Amino acid sequence: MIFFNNITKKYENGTVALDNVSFFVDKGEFVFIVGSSGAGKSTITKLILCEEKPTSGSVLINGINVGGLKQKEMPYYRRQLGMVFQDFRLLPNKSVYDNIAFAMQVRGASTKEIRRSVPNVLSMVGLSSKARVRPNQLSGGEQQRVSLARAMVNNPPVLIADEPTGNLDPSTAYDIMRLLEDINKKGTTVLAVTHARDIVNKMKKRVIEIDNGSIIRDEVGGYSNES
Amino acid sequence: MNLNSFKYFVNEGVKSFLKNGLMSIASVITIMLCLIMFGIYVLFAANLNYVARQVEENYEIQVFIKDGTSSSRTAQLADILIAIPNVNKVVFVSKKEALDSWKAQFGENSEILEGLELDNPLRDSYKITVDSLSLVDETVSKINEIEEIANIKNNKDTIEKLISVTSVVKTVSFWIMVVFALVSIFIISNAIRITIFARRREVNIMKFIGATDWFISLPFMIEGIIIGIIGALFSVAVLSQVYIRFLNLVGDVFTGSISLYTFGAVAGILTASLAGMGTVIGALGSLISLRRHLHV
Ligand SMILES: Nc1ncnc2c1ncn2[C@@H]1O[C@H](COP(=O)(O)OP(=O)(O)O)[C@@H](O)[C@H]1O
Ligand SMILES: [Mg+2]
Repeated sequence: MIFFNNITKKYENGTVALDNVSFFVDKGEFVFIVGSSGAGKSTITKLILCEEKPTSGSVLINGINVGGLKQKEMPYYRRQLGMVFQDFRLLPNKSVYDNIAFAMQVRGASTKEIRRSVPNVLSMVGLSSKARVRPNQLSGGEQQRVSLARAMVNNPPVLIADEPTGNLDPSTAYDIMRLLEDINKKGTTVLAVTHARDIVNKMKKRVIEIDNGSIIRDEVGGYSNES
Repeated sequence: MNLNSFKYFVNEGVKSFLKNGLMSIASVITIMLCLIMFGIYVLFAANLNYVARQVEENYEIQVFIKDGTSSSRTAQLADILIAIPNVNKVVFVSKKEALDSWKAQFGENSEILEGLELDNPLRDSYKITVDSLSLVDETVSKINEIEEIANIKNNKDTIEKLISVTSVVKTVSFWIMVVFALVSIFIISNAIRITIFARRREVNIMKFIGATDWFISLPFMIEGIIIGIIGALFSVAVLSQVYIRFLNLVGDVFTGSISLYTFGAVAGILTASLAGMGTVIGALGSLISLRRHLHV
């Protein structure tokens, strides 16, 4: 579960990205976070990953107070999260296969497990043929799918996806969202930040809409019609 | 750490080493130079000890017997001498034997000693070896009390001077070596720092995926150790050539009772100590820069 309790995030330059935001996502839920560019969506994902610290308020993930984590505990906490980054964050010197294997290696997975799981997630995101390719030889959409494959390879309890379909054509985007839905059905809590209005409207999930650092809507259904 | 992780660390370390081509070569050369210094120190110190030990072992006092001492009294002196504390062994050298060995040293030019047989100017003597060099002064004064002793040849002061000089030289060369080691550690840590800086985005990504600092650091440390060990191998190669040549050069000086180690005798210890030192320098160098720069 994910709990944002009265979170305010003010960046060093004075920008208030989130202004007293509170929401609760239960274990096993699928939630879209929508809103225009600069609304504060990525800031939410950064606070969950502990890439940024809240100015005030607290973030609880699976009962862990993220703000209270020690430097030493951080890696183990982060392994509970599958994260699809808006900027992909793939390791440039590693092949697609090795990038995904890396997420397993950090937690000490055996070669056998790696050999079984990596091809599996690669085929799920439709990139089996690109296993040996370096990230810089991939299109933006392909890199995004590698990032997703890496996020799901460890079957994390929570999966956070920041614009996982931002660079994809509509039909691939839809496939990816369906993939997230499948992962969610297996018990993973999914939080997906997106712009894809059509998909959100079609999937009929809970939608939290952010505008200018505040939640303006939180309900099951489509995108708000006005924005 | 399981075998998979170990393979991963070694793999990453090797890849990074190869990828950093020029930087790696520069680091290897630096560490090699440092280890050559270290190796010279090791060889020097080992031989110094070896020579000092031989000098001590071969140390002998020669006591000359006054002319005109009867042969029976001369023979008796052997028992008197052996009874003196600290005296280990007593060997009689007749004046004829002394002249013969002198002649032998002259070799072909021995004819200039021709005629000396008739009126041998040398004296009968005893060569005495002692148990402990440090007690020699007392031993010598005891020997001096014997009426028939003309004089005593004792080069203990020279030996002591030699030993004290060698200890100074050893201390100085030790500190020179320490300075070189520090310089190498600094250079390695700089090389690794540049690697980390070049890869800080990567390191950052690894952290967000849940890699521990150890997991991120080990490849860098292995890279440092690879640099150290390759540097060590090169330095052993260089030193073996230099040392063998050196032995050929000074071979004539060290004949007889005092000799230097052959290369074979020191190859093992030299390789082990240089590889050990290279590993320590490499690991330490990368550890220092990791501790300072990992938290990007
Ligand atoms: N590191 C940062 N420093 C300063 N301002 C930032 C930083 N990151 C984001 N912002 C600002 O905070 C606001 C919210 O950003 P973000 O959460 O990335 O929005 P979104 O993902 O919804 O587009 C924006 O105005 C953005 O410019
Ligand atoms: Mg964003």
